Amino acid sequence: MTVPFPAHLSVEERVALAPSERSVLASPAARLLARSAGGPPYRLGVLARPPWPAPESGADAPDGPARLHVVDGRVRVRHARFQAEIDPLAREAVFYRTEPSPGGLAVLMRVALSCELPLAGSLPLHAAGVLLEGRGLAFFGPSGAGKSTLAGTFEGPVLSDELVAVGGEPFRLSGTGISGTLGERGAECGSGPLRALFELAWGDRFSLSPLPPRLARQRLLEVVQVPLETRLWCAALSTLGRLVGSVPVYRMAWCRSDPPWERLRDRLARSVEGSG
Amino acid sequence: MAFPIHPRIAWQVLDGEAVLIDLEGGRSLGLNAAGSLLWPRLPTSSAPELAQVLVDEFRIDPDEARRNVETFLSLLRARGFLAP
Repeated sequence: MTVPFPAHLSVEERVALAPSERSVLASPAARLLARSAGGPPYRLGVLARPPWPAPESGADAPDGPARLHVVDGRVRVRHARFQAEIDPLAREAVFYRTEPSPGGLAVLMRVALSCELPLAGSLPLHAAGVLLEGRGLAFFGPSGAGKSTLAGTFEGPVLSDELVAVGGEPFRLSGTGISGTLGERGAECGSGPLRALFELAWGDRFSLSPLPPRLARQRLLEVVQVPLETRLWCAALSTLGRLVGSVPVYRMAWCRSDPPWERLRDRLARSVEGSG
Repeated sequence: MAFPIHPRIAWQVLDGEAVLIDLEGGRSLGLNAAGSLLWPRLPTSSAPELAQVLVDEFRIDPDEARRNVETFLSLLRARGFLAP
């Protein structure tokens, strides 16, 4: 059975996609990309030839990470097994590989989403996100800070343990369909009003303290996942300013033996009452 | 003579702070109060005009303001933040 592409994703196959690749284009991330800005469909071309001269052999390790760089406002993704180029303003991308590469297409989806979201007034954040009683809580920090571990202790909906989107007015927290170590458990579709953001730290016990706006901006800048292109970052900075001005940001220490959910529920309920 | 900003710098003034992203290095930088005041005016202001902004805002001596502007511009040039 052929997997259908999402509505608002227009795919031109100059080379036929494999079933494994078509599944990637039917993923939640691809659906989010397709519908994120409304209007005309997002266009994806699957090429028979590389979009630019291939690198010298051996220049990219087959199992190494993909590399991004920007040329004339377009974001190029380069890997030993595939090449892709994204035009954020035109909302189109091209993809080339010599053999089926669902992993490469997944990378393209993530990078394309990271280009699309800022221009739609949203921010892609390297963060975990959950819905606590319908309200969005986002947890950020460097690798090893405990995002996936914390999200794994939550019994409710986990929007992502890897990449979330914050946007809208008022701000909402959304999953992106992209998960980390939690796999499918960390990629539930859905969204909720964004209640707070938390910079994570390990500690001996739970603690919660508000971050001043300037520090909150600095910390969040480190986890904004946007390719280094001028217009994308100008848009992202504008959204970041709006975010820090309207959503509380805390530093939260926690320990694995004592998941913080009840305390968070109580603290957030009290802070709402106090401000009411 | 004005001071165009290098296109590799993305920036916004957020809550009075000029936040700069160096797109070649991927690093971010926040300017202090004086720098944040001057930064958006760089492409359209001469050095004397920038100095007058500091005099008006911070009520400092004009010579001190001129020296501060020169130091600021030198730092920006050294970091490659101004267009060639």
